[in-house]
Amino acid sequence: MTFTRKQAEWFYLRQQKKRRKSGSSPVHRYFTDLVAAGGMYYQFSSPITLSGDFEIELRFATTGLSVQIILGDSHITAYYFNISATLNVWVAGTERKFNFITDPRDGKLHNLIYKLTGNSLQVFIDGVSLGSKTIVPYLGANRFRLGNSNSATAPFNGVLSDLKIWTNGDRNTGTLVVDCPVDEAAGVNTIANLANPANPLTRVNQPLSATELYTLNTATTPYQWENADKTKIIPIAGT
Amino acid sequence: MIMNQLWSIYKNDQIHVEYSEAWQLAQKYPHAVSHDGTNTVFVESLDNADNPLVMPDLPDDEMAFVAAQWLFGESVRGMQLTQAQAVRLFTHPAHRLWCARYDPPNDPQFEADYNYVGAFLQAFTSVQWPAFTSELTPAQARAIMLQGLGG
Repeated sequence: MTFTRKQAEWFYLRQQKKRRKSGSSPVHRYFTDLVAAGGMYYQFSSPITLSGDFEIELRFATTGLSVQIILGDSHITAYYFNISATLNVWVAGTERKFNFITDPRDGKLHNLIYKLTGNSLQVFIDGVSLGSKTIVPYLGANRFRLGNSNSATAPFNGVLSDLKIWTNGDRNTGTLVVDCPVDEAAGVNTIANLANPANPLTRVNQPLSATELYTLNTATTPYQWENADKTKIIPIAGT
Repeated sequence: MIMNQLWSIYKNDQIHVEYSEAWQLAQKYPHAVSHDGTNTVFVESLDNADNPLVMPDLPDDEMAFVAAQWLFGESVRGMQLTQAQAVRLFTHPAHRLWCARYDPPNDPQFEADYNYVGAFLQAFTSVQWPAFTSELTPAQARAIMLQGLGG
């Protein structure tokens, strides 16, 4: 059985509510607050080739208004995904811009999907399509950095998590080559790639203080992740 | 090598001077960021750094002015500051103007930053600050700012 993303999220939230009602233990996870001033990001060990169709999914939260790289190799020679006043995708030197329906740079945790079918690249934020653009797919290797790139320095400022990449198709037809929840404790510098343990992420320029344990609070609207002393709150968009 | 949680900033060329403070930090942080192509930011500091400028607690504009004079100067000594101070500097209009990263090129933020920096520099110095024009490029603005700082 295959769930749509909406169905899966509904199921997940229903499970959280059940747990809350039954008094079972709270849900925890780690988030790392990437601080652009310090140039913090993650680096894959090996290049990733997006051959044919692909789908990329991740979660992000930011309030930064300047240019920020989400996932990038080189904007001149490879794939490069960034956010500014629009969501932008560079494919080997050519840029495509996707206008927001609602500006997501609001500090909430948003779901972001890039989906290539043939020459048509679609972008979704929280399940809402920002439209599609025609691109010439880049079939070479990408030395991806999560939150930065190899060609430009505009580090991401905020949270990036739950990165998944399918190649040779989408989530239903392709091969999952990246599955990085980015849920490791401070001091653990290798970030697991559950789909390909041989190609994990490594933390770069991240002090221990950047990573904290968060608890899911489902008593709020929207639901939110809170660090221990509640000085950092990450509301979850659409909940 | 004992580190502490203060961040530090050094001239880029110091990274290549063997056993210098910046070189020592670069052994742990080989990909430390240089936002402006001139200075490198490390997310830790050496406890035994030689007479660093430890950034005092100042309002944003005053801190930006102190930092700018240091960062655009010739000192090989490091600047140490808290993460919060580094973030405040990073988001100050003077830093954006210095790094000249505006998107798109006609970003209205460029004019706003240029005017802001002109006003704040004139509050600290007797610099003549030319009025913004649509022909002004970020590189020219950077040069004007450097001149205003006495560079």
